[in-house]
Amino acid sequence: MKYPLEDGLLLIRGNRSFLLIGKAKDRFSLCIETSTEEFCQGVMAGDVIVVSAPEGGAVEPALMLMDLVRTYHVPLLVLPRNHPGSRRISRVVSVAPEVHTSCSIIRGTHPEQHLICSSDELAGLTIRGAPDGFEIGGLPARVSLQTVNYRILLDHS
Amino acid sequence: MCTVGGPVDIDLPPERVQGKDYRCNECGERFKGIGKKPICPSCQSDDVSAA
Repeated sequence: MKYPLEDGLLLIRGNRSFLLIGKAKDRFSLCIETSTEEFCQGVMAGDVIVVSAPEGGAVEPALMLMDLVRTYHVPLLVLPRNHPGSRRISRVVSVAPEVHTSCSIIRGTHPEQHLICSSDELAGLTIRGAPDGFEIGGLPARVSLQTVNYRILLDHS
Repeated sequence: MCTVGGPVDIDLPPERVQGKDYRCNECGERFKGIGKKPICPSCQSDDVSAA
């Protein structure tokens, strides 16, 4: 199903978790840092950026994470398997032309960008960029969709 | 952990990611690229060659 959206973000809310979806605004090299190596992935304008909060919580940190990647192109960090910090990661991000949600992966431990950890209620989705929005497959009936626009304001006075 | 239910059973270790070695023809940077369209992480050029 297609969801039209120009430059804003799409928030998919389940009962206890959410996904925040945006599109890359420009092309850039996204660096993915594992404990031993660095991988660099070419991101094209229109590629999908998905922030997942498998346990829900505030949307603002997800917006910040989205902006760090989408606007500031910060590298992504990948934890090694069985790292104790994995259980403390409440929001994860993936960038790819097409992203699949899964609740069967351990969050923060896989550098592959076509997969993202989600809650079980939002698992099985396929999210793909379209010219004027997104194509989302496998969306369950009991979720809400909202567009999100935001701006960061700095007050230096 | 995020390991209950879901349509697939995947736990991908980082060592399964096989990047390809590239060299940037603009700035000479060497990097491991993944995906179909590698871009140099230093100068953002897509003029890169397999190294």
